[in-house]
Amino acid sequence: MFLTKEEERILDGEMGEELARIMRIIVKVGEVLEAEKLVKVSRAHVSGVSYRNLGEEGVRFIEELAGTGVRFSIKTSVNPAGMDLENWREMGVKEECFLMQMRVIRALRAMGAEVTLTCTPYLYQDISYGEHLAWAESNAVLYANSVLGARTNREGGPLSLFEAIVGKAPYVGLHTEEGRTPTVVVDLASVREVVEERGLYSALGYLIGREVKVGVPLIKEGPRPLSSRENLKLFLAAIGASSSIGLALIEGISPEYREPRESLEEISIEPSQIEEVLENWSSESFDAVVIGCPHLSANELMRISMKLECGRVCRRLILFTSRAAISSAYKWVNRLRDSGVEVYADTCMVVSDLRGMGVKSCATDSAKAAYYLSGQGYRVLLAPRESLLRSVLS
Amino acid sequence: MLEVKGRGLVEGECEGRLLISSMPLSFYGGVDPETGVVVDREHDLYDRCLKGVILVFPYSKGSTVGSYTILRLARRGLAPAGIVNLVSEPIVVIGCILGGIPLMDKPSVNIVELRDSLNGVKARMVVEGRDGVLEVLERV
Repeated sequence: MFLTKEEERILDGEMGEELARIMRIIVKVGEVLEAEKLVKVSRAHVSGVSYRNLGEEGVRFIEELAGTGVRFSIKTSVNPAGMDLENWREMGVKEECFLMQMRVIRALRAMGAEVTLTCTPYLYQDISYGEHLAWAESNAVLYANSVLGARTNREGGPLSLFEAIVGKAPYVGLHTEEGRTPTVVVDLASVREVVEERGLYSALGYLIGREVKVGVPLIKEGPRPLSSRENLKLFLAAIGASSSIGLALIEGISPEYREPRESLEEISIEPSQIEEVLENWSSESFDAVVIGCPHLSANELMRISMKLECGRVCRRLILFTSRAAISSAYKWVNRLRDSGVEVYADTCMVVSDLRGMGVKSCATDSAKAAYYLSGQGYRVLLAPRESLLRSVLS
Repeated sequence: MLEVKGRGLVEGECEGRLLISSMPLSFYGGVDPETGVVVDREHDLYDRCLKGVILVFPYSKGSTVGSYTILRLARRGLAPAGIVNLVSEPIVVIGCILGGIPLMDKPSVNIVELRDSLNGVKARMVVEGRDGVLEVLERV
């Protein structure tokens, strides 16, 4: 792999042994992926923040890293934690768990992270077209690449941490022009109506991921409302959950969408396949409706609050969002809380402990959440947001 | 005795019994970090403990949190002694660097296909620079 003089100097330890060790890891990953060189990245987004996923050893590893004195050299945001850092007691979280989570937060902050604790960094940063990023968190990677035209691989938990320190990533995959050319065409003509009528954007995304698995799908003839941010978030997150895809070129949405020059394999999606996805998660009863995977935006909080005003909330509804969204939709969040809705920031249903909140089965509008929650042993119903909100009203 | 050469990725030396799988492995969710046992019911290594074995599988898959799972296993003394992949990808490369576990890929012989005769057999693995060697120590 080609390295610049500056990169060589870091590797040789001229900037300290710790930085050399971190550079060696990035170079090794680059070699394995057969990258020709490294590329400068302007921002990082780190995943693997929840103490539950890290365990004591992982928490200690991040503390040790911060203890060596290394710092993030670029703007670095972070994924959700295992609990709401203000209202953790209400979530039934034990104090020892909160303290363990705070060790991670303190170490990340010491290294210079903005403690955003959200999986939707794209809602709060002005990302430029063509900007190279080192983002982990699959839904954010898909949104940055597919909607904003930025360039990042699914860099992953520990790698994004190291890339944030050095400010470089292996120049390979979705960082390169070649890696962004479509590999398969997905035609949605036969499902666009049913998806639009019933609001099944998340199930559709899950299905596309499951069918395509890897590469860059070129998605044609999608339903028009797919272009709303709300639907795109759910759709792309679901693709990320069922595949290793990091870029989808969507007609009418992706700035890099072009009709393919050569003839590509074509997959068409049938309505019966969407029914199959829904059947995977069709629990008839549920303790709570959980919404916010990916995190709800301020706008979505407002819309949910307005929808609930036409009735009385008589079922448990738990919403997950970012601290930033709560502060800009403060009025709406207060109304939601007054009507008995639980609103939490900094965390989500996948990385927090729903059982600790007395939830054993749940209903959600997110196929990504449905996938991970059923993996954790919960009974799950997947249904569109509209019908879930109707179901909590008397 | 069989000697398999490969691409060295993480340096080190180890000995252990071969545990060979024909399926991709997700460390996050697929392996219990507290016990080192494979908990993915769909996997052909289900219920097997990874501690001290030379683990052979095609490639890793799933969440990148899997690197931390490998680190946790290593710090608890429950990790494989070494890992051989057909093709390694970043989850396992980073996990092995952080955990100090020797790793090689692209073996000159497809050992996954020799699973039935080699499973449980003692082997030694040496990775130096870009060279990895897996040496089977028992007659099969």
